Amino acid sequence: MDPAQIEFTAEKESIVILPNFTEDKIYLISGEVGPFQPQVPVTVPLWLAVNLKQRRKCRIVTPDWMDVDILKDKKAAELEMKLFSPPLHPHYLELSTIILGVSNEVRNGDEVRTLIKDIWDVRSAKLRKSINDMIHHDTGSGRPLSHVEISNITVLELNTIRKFFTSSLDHLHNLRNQAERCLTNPLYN
Amino acid sequence: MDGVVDDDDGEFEQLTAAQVLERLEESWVNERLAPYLLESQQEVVDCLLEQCTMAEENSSQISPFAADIQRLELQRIRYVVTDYVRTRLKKIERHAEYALEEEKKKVDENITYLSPAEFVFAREFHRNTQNHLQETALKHMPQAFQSLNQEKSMVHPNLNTFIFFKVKEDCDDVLIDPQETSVSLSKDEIHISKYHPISPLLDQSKIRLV
Repeated sequence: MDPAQIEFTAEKESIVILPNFTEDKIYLISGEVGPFQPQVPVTVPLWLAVNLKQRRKCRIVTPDWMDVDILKDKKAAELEMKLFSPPLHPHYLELSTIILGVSNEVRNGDEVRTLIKDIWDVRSAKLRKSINDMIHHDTGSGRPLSHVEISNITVLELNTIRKFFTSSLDHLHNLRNQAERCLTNPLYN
Repeated sequence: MDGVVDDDDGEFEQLTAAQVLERLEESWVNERLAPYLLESQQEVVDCLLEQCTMAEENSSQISPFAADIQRLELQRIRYVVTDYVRTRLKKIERHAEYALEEEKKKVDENITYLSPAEFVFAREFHRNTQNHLQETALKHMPQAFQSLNQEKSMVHPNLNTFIFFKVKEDCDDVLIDPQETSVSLSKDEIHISKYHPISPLLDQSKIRLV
């Protein structure tokens, strides 16, 4: 999958905005939004929030988890834990990039951006290390890994390793199958 | 926009428009990640396109602001639908002969992998490729070599490729690898395994690809 398509999927997430206009409820195929009244918080999908913000018709309320203190705690927790801790949000990187890009009202925006990038880097490093371990893993009698559970990972992180990981496991299994076939083939024994 | 009817397994299932859209988006992601065609969700596609045309026709009856927003959403839906169909067509082009063979061998009439339009596309594509090969190369070969062995020249999809999936419902005793013991899958876990053993779970909607 393309990262752009994952971002497209992330744009469906709900976010709270403060409109500066009045409008009745709007009936969309994906649900209803509104009614809109000035300074009354309303929940809308992210794609709509971005569009309204670009037309200067609303202010975006920063999500709770995009706060400097929470991010610092999260980063410390990630560094401490050997496995993945539950992510801030299933689409934390997409949401934070979009919101920071379109809104200049995020408190300590630069620091938030740096902290989120740090968290992403820590998780990516953990991911690379665990892939290395998984590929060298042996389920006994020299057979490569055929099943693994990895929860607490976001789709975007998974996407960075998808191609490499799946094709290397494919190759390992192919080589193993060929080896077994040769060993049992009377022609070669 | 409530009470939209969607045909499922020969029985009518009442779904809201939002649920139909949800189902299409899930099928879109599944289709993009699966190595071969999944069950055709033609009813879902048709239903959504109908909703889109209805919404466009009614756009004159609502305020211009709301119409604008609706138009944005329609563009998003249209993108998902076109990418879904495009992915399926790409897979059909790669495995045209295999798809036609599978369609012939089909056991259960209710489960279709190719919609009627896709079946016609597959057949025509296959015929055109055969003609092309015949005209450009085979015709000029010695008589004995002028036929193509279907079985050997078919492109089989690799159904044993590895795939990431997320569990939607608890399942017990899933045989992920024939040489290992069965495992239990709990809700909201992400796993990686070969595609073939878990494809029945995908058809039953107990898991989704991620």
